[in-house]
Amino acid sequence: MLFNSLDFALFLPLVFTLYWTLSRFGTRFQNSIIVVASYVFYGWWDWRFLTLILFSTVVDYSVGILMSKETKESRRKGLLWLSILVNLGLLGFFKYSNFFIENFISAFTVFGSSISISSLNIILPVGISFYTFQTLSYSIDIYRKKLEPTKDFVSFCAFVSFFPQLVAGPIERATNLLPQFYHKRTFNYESAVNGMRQILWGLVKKMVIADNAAVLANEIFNNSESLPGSALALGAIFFTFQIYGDFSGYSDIAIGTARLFGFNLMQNFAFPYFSRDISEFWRRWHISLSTWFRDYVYIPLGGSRGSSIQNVRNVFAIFLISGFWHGANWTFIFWGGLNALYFLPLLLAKRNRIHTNHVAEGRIFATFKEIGQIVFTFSLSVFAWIFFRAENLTHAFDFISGMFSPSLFSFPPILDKNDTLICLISIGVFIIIEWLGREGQFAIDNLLNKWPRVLRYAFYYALIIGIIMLAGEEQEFIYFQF
Amino acid sequence: MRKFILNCLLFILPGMILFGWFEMRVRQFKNVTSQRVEALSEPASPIEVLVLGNSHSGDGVDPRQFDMHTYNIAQGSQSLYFDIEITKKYLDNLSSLKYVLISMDYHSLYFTHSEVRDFMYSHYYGIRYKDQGFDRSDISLSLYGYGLETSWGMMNREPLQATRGWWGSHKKTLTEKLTAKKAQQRVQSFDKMIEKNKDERLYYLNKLNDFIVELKSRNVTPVFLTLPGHNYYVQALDSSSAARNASDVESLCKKHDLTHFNFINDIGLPDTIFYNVDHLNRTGAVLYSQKINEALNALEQH
Repeated sequence: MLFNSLDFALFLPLVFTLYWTLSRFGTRFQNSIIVVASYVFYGWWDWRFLTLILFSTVVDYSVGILMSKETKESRRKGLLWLSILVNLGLLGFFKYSNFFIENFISAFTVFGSSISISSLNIILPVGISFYTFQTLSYSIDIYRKKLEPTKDFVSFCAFVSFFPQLVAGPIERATNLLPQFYHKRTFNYESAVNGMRQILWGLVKKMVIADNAAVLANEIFNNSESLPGSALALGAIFFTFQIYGDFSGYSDIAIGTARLFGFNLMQNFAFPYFSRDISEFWRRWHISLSTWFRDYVYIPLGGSRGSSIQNVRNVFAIFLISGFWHGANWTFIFWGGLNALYFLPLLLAKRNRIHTNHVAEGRIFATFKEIGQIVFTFSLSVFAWIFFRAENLTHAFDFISGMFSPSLFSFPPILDKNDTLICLISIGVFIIIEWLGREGQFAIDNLLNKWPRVLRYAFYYALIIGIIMLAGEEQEFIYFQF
Repeated sequence: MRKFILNCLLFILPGMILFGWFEMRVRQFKNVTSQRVEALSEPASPIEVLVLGNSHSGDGVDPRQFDMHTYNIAQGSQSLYFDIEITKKYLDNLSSLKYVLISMDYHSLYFTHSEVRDFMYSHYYGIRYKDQGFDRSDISLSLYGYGLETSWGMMNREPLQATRGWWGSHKKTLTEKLTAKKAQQRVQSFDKMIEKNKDERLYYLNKLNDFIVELKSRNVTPVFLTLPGHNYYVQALDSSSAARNASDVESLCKKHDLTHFNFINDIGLPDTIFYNVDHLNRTGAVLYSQKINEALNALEQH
């Protein structure tokens, strides 16, 4: 079920009403409604994959309980490895089997022998990369004794399958989300209104920005060999906004929806395109995944402690794994590696934590220096996204060589189209609103607080009309494939 | 929570009222299809000749050129399925009906339906493709049928006036589209469809057979019609598919003693009568409608 679909527009009010009207029956009842709603939500795509979620849930629930009873360290470690192997095994099988088979065949071909193995016809279950990481965090935190295992199976099911963030995050930590299922939620008007506001802004990001930018980015990337450099540069920029609008839009809708049910999910995007360097970008982009890798991969590897060589190794490890997490394609791995290269100089010069506040905090305008930093960081991201979007590495390199040709300075033919201009204007207005609201959790979080109600409502109506009039061709959320 | 729900309802109420009004306007908009439905629903309809088919006969048969009262319900991407179901639905009203012209084109036995247009048949004629159930356009014609952009456009224009169901959309010749390459591309798209839907052929032949039996039982004569194509188009047709089509139509004609007005092999036709490689323009429609009229008159006297 897509967030920007009629199905969800009917599903959400129905579940919301049921949830709150029946909440007098207690926490367990609330959780049960969430579990049923989440399974319906997920089963809407393919009910067969519900068995995978259930299997993952049962394994980690049992591992958690067994681990808490076990005193012997080696056995506790064994149980942790069982959870890791089951979760990563499922992920590996469904997501990476064909990648390994194809590369295995290619490697043999390079050495002159040929083998015949057919790739498997595997459908990737939606959201598997997200919920497996979420359940893994539970097992690891219990192993580290940061979290008490739950004995409440319904709460655990609700934690694993919580529908707002089940298929594309934020990847919640058990330490944050699971305890919220232990207590009865009571309705909070302010929080619900804020949730609705965040859903609205998420829909704007997805339907106005991402879906329109997607049409243009697709057109340019699919015809890159015949377009001038200027059009290719524009295509890379459109994709940059497509992926941001798409994914952060999804996160906003997820967080907003969770608020309607009395839950607080972590912020997943904090205006990353206003970052002043690449390390700030990575503290603001897909925060739930970045911090997951930081806590469960980077720090256990030694983090930024140790020698420079160890630092380099750890940075590359985390970025390459992050790239590979996104998809079974060398383009993602290259994208990860490129970001590691961007990040390393800052780390080695110990300048990776100099921008921890909001840019131009308390001011409307940024300084020229800040603008320069933002434009430079944004350009690095745009360049890296080319690898992320390209079909394969050859396509990416051809795209880049086409882009950096003399035709980079020609008039891009795509600018002749009305759709392109409308999309560019929408992006322009969007950037302004995001800039003005950059100190909140999302752009229109605090921005409207001081406005009179009439103006506020007029603004909401303008956004809704904007969605209706400017909505692009419906596209599935990009991160569903990851 | 009550306050929240109330405020949400109050917030969406103006929008809902506006949208409801918009939806009503879209539903009441008189387009060619709604005009056709009105004509077909008329009890004791004066229609004597009914023209079925897709855009080939939709563009190419001008009812004004006929001596008998002729009505054209052919529509772009209208499959045999809808041709037959629409006619069957209104047969009781068509008490003067003498002839039904069934357009038989290169792809007719293999074209099932156009999903994006199914809502029109469902909304206006009340007919669903193979009785498919619920469609989202039932909830909102503007959102899930026409789409908002088209619906909005409908608000700002006068309804198109069809003459006996026909509005002859193409006046000009698109000379840049009258090329061998365009013809090959067009035929290739049909060939793909034929390959994909090859199993539909028997279904449609059986459906046609039953339809013919029903028409004949009401003293209505079905006549097959194949309009001409540009030379480039005719040359690009796959000979085995064309031969199989010809044989299928011939079998039906023999079995039920029917006539096939087949103009596909007319050669040396001027470019000026075509819109593109497989559609006549208004000039071509007048010319060929007169020919069909003559042939029908001959059949009537016979």
